[in-house]
Amino acid sequence: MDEPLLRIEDLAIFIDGPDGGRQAIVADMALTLAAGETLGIVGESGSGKSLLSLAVMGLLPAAVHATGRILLEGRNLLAMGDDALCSVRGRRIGMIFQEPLTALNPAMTVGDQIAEGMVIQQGLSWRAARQEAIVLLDRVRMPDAARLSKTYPHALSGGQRQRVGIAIALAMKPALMIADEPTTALDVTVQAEVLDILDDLRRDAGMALILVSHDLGVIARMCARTLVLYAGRRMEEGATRDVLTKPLNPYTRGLLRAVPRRQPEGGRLQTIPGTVPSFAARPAGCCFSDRCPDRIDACHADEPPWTRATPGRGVRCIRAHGERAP
Amino acid sequence: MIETPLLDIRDLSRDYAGGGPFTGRHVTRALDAVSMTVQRGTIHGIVGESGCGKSTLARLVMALDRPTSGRVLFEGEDLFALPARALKRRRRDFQMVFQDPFGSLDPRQTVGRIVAEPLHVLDGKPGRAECRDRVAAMLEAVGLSADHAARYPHAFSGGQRQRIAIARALITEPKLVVADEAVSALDLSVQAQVLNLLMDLRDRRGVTILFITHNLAVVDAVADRVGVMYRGRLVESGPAQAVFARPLHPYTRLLAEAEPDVTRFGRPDRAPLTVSTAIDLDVGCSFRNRCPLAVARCSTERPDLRVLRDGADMPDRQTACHRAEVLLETETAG
Repeated sequence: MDEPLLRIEDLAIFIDGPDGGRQAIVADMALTLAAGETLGIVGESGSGKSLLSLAVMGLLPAAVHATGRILLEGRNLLAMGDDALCSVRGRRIGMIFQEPLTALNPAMTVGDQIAEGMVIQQGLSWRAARQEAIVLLDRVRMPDAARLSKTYPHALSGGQRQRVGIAIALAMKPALMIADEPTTALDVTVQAEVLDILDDLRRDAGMALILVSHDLGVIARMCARTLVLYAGRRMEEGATRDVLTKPLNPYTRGLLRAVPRRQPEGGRLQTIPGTVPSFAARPAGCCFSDRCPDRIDACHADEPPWTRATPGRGVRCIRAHGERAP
Repeated sequence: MIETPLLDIRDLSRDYAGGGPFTGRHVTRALDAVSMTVQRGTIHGIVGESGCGKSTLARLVMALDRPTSGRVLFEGEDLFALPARALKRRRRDFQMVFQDPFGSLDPRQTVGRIVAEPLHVLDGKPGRAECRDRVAAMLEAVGLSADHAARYPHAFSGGQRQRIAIARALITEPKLVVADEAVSALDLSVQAQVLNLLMDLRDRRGVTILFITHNLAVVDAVADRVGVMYRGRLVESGPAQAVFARPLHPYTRLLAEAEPDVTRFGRPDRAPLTVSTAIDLDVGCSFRNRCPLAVARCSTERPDLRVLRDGADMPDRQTACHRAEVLLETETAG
């Protein structure tokens, strides 16, 4: 049987409470990703999408613990020691962060920041690594790469900094790239360019991509499959086109309706009443039951299980299947 | 007789001096001869990318900064010709909502104090009981409850904080609210609530809103009129619906095409235009190096805002493009 590139099983992420207790921020998380595949993870703040990507990278903060299994090429990352993890991180998994300015070292030239990983991980000489850095900058379509590799981050624009961030992650030729809101801080025209660069690299290098974003439009443009998260739970998963055109979960439907667009006759936008609950204040039963327009009494009773509607399509909602019946 | 517009901006420019002791002085023109009017009771959108001068415009309209040249007329009164005391009195009529709902509220003050603070600058400052009543009424008007006044900002979510910021801006019953990226930091499900609130305030209280954002979809959803800015200049203006349905400037079209859309799957066929060459911004059109329609005239003659030659069926629309007629033809052909 083919082992997928990444398989997450029963992942839960806990935070230590002040009274010694533990609270689950993320629970019952699972996903698989094959080589070269693209998965979009959608969620609002507090959905656990960033924690999930940090858990895969082994970068969870100290107060947070993960249980379950994160298998990369068959090896459980959660059971690995720091040294073993270090060689996976960077070499097999690359990460692109949201803030291109804070993610870069202001006191080091961008060329050296790209070269650093290759020197440490691959044993290249600095001279060779710096040459390679210029090639990488060229691949992320940085104009005048040789000159710009000797500049510091402050001299670059936001789009250029994000290209440097991509080049750093790319230097190790990772099998899996995790991009956490990579274009949120960028202008739309620059965003389009950066997304195209990511897409080209994925195609050329056969890299798998997890794109974390709150922007459904970005997900529609980039990802074949989509996973919708809310309050640390999977709500819905499937082919992006299916999820965004035929959503099964009321939360996904609500999100799609709330996308700003002109309403006829100066009408009002549709909203989801209320706000995303903090992880300490989740409602009983389904985590969306306090805001859901389709809720029934049973929604408050138990957390609904994750169900497979069709192959490749999953949903967490007791109303999802009832509604589809004629 | 034509009614005086609430806000009349005339030839407004702002230069910032840059450079240090080693690089030589140079001047950046953040805002370049922008003229526009904002009518009462409308939401007037300003869109553009970072560095286009939209926040500089907001600061000048709020009289937080002085222009290099040009005037801002508020109800026909030049804000920068007013004596300091008169300007201070005038400030109750225009208020601002900032982007960051976390950074713009003092964490050590109760919501009641935060919202009441603008009242303290008023002449004939209302008494304590009246202050409390007005704060309570205002909190309810923005969808919070009166007993929230005793709590501190940390107890509120991002959307609720932005409501507090809006309540603070509205407490002096201003005629104009400048909202600079006021919903950009909010989650999708909460963003729509705040946008609806802004439309309600316009319809029920007649508040005029200058709504500044980089997000086209948001402007399209709420704005009555829109101005598109590029590199310090206003390049297109008109009714929001018409501008986005049929752009008259290639930059507006570029923005609209680059905007991700939940109904467009996969990568668009057309590659986005990249900036190829540096250009001399002092002459000609500043968009010419990214423009697919640029001709020789664009690099010698600066396009001014104008009405189209056959613009009879396009009321109130203006574009700063020599090639707008060609743009319209290519659009109908393609």
